[in-house]
Amino acid sequence: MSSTPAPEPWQERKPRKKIVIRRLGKTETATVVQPSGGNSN
Amino acid sequence: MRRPRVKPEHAPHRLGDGTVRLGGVLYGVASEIPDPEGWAWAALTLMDGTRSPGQVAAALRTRFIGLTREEADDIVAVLLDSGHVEDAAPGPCEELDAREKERYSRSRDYFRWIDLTPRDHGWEPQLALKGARVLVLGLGGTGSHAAWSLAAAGVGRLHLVDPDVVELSNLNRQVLYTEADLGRPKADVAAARLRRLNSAIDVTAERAAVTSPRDLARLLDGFDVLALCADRPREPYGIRTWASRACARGGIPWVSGGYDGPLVSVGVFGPGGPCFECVRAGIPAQPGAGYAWPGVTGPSAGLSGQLVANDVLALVTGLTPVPPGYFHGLTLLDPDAHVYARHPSRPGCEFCP
Repeated sequence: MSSTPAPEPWQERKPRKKIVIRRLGKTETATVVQPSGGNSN
Repeated sequence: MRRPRVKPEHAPHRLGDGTVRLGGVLYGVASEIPDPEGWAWAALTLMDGTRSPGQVAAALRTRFIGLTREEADDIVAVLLDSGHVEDAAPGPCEELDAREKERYSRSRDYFRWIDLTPRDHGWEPQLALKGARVLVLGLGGTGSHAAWSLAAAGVGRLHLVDPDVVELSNLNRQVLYTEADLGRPKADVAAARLRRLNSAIDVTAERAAVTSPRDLARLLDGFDVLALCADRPREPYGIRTWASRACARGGIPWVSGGYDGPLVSVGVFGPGGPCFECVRAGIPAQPGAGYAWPGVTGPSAGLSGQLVANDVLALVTGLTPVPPGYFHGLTLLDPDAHVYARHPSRPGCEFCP
């Protein structure tokens, strides 16, 4: 039975750089108050 | 996407800790991206409609030399799929002419705002409306406002049904009629009025009462959505129950709206969600409910009709906030309250999925 050898330090991969989008929840948004008053046209 | 550009309504803002806020303050639209390195902010800034996605990624790598090509491509791809970006070089939309595009320009901007699905040209929701066939039953306080809004929105085919004539007491709220229409059938007056409002759509009408489930099934034939704005026959086994069963059998989504004075409520039902009868069964019986007193003002009737129209537009375009199978609304006597009821299907219901 063989096992995968641990990578040498120079072989270690850095974590992939990425961005993550998080949709805001109800308490984080202003669904009730529109401070500007919005449009009326 | 050929030339990505951040939607103007979704313009990014950078918070104090570097987090990027997109989509303003609207629930269902707004989002945030933790961005301590500034990658997202830079990519969004580069998405000004002058570059291809590949050019955005390449420019990103020149600013952040530690980014690999794959990482830069991934950052761009995440933003392209986010719903915050549109194509500044959209594909052609030949199904709408220049006049239609001007007429519905504000609708397109609205749909662009709330629609988080990447689109080819952004007119897709409007094209869905143009191809839709909607049956409007009842042209009173709720139905007159709903029909007006659906015609204005460009629903391509509207059929209007009502048995009544215009009376003077209708004119405090029923938006399609004038004093000159007194005594004339509402269906005929409404159809003529809506044809003058929007000559690009097909509006037909008939003066008829729905007196049986069979009547309703006949009327539904060939339509995609029902806007039920009639309240007779009354429940518990009345027109809403008939509509629920007929629409369930036909796989037709439907919306029902009305008011009890200042209390406005609208039901949204369709394939995949619990039926009207199941949702109603989950609502505790209320003593004193269901008398249908006639008192109403324009705002109460208008809100119910406009909510019906909004929900029909949502069903047709697919831009629904939640799956069908619920009531919602408001009461004008309590600005701090809202109406919402959703209950699961009853075990063994033959009309639910």
